[in-house]
Amino acid sequence: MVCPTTASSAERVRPDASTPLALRLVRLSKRYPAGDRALNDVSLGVPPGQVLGLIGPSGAGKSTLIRCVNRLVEPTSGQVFLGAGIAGNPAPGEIELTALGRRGLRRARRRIGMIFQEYALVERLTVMENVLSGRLGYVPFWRSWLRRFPAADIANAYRLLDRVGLAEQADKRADALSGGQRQRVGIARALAQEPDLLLVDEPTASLDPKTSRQIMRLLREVCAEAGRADDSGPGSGRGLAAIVNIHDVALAQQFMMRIVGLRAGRIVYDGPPQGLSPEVLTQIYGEEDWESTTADAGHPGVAPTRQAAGATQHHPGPEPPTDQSMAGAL
Amino acid sequence: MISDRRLRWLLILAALSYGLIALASIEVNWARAADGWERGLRFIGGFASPDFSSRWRDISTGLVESLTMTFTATVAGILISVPIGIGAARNLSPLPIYLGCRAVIALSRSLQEIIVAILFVAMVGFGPLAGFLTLAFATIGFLAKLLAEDIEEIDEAQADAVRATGASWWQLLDYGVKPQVMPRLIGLSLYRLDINFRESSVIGIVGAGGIGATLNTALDRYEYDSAAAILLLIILIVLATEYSSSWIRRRLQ
Repeated sequence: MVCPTTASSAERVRPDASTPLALRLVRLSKRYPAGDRALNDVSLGVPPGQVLGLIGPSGAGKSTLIRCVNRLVEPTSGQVFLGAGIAGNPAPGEIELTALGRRGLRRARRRIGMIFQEYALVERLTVMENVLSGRLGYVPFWRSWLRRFPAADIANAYRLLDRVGLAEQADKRADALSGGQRQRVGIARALAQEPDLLLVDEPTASLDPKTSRQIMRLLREVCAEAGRADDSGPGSGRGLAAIVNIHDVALAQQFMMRIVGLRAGRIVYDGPPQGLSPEVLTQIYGEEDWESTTADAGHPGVAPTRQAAGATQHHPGPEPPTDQSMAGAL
Repeated sequence: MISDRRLRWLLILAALSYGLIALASIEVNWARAADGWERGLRFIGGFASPDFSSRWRDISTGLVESLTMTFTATVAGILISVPIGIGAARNLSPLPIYLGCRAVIALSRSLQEIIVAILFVAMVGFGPLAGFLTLAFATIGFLAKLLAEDIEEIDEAQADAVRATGASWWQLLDYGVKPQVMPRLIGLSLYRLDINFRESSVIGIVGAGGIGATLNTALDRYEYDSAAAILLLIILIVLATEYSSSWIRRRLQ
C-alpha cells in the first residue's frame, strides 16, 4: 500500500521551485492598529492537494494569516497569490489577491472556501439555505433574495449534504443541529463554492475529541475527492489545497500532510508532521514537557508517513470510513 | 466609593441642603390647592360613572382617527427607519453615510414629541396630518437607533462567513444580517406601535387630532364623565396592544 514515491514525497512536504502552487504568500505582514505585529514577513507556498496544518500558541497569528488570504483582514504589506493550480504551469492563471479591487476580490473569494471555529452558520436560516449561501458569489442578488437558486446549484447542495451525512437535515434550522453537524454544514457550504482552496480556522475547537477526529477525517477526504471530481484526465487528482489552523498538536500530527509552526507572527517550523520533535514544539510553543504529546501520536516517523502516503491515494486517516459510518456516527 | 470619610459626609450634606433649599423655593398657593382638591374629586367621581353615550360620536371619530394615525405613522416610520438604521450601523456603512444617518437620528431623538407636534400643527394646521407627521418622525429616532445598535451587535462571524463566499453587499445584508436582526426589528416595531398609540392621545391635546383632541375638548367643557370614558378606552386599547404585541414577540423567538 505504501509506495516509495509518495512516502518520500511525504518527507519533502515543502514545495521546491518547480512545484505548482495553489497559494503563495510573499513576505506577508500584518500590523494591527493597536501596534502589535500579528504577522511578520511570512512567505509560504501551498501546492494543490496539500492539507497544511498551521500550529502555534494563541496570538501567534494563525487566524490573521488565513484571514489575510481572503482579506477579511487587510494585510499591511506583502502579497498573496491564488494559483491556477495547473500542473507545471502556475503563473498565467495566478491572481494577486492583494492587488484586487472590491469587485475582483468578491470574484476571487468565490474560489476560496472558509470554515470557521464556531461554525459561523447563519443560525436562523435552514441548513439548505446555509449550504446555498456558498453560491452567493455566483448568483445575482434577486435570485438569492427570492431563494431561486439555479437547479444545478440546488442539486449540488443536496449532493454535498448527502456527502457530509446530513441529507435528512436539509430543512432544519441551523441552530437545531449539534456541533458536529453544524461543522459538516460549514464544510458543505465551503464546498458549494467549488473552491480551489480551503481556509479552515480551528475547525474542531468547539468539538469533543471523537467528533473532532470525524471532522478532520472528513476534511481530508473532501480535499482529496475535490481533485477527482474536477479533473477528468488520467493522472489527475490534484486535490483541494487547505490551510487548517489547529491548536491540538496530536490532531495536527494525525491528519495533516505538512505542518507550519507559527510563533509571534513568524514561521519557526515548516516540515512533515513526524518532524515535530519535543525540541521543535518547544521552539513553537515554549518550554514544556512535550514527551507525552509526541508519544501520543503513535510512532513518529512510521504512522504519519503511512498516513500521508495513504492520503495521496485518497484514503486519508488510518481507517477510512464509509459514508454510512460517518452518518451513523452522528 | 468615596474613600475620604469627611468628603463623603460633606457631599451628602451638600446634596441634602440643596434639596431643601430647592423645595422651599417652590411657591404653593394653598387656597388654589384646596379649590383644586374638590375639582380633582369630581374628576375621580367621573370615573365612577363614565359616560360613553352622550359624546359617543366624537369619541368614536377620535378613536378611529387616533388608530389610523398610529398605524400609518408606524408603517411610514418603519419604512424610513430601516434604511437609516442600516446607514447608521458602523459595521455596514462608510463613515460619511454613517455620520449623516446618525445626525438624522440625533435630531429626531432630541426633539420631544409634543414640541414636534406643536411645530407640525403650526406648519400643516390642526388635525391628524400633524399627528401622523409627528409620530412618523419620532418613530425614526427610536427605531433607526435601536436597529443600528442591533446591527452593530450581530455575530460578526456569521457576516464574515457570508462575506467569505464572495457575496455582494446586498447579499451580505440579506443572508448575514437580516436573519440576525429580523426578530428584534419586528419586536421593536410592535413596541413602537404601542408607544405611538399612547403618544397619539398626548399630542392630540396640542391640536394634532385624534382621541387626544376629543379628550381635550371634554376637559375644556368640564365633562369629566365623558373624559373618564375616553381615558378608560385609551387604557383598554393600550392594554390590548401591549398584550397582543408581547404575545407576538414571544412567538417570534
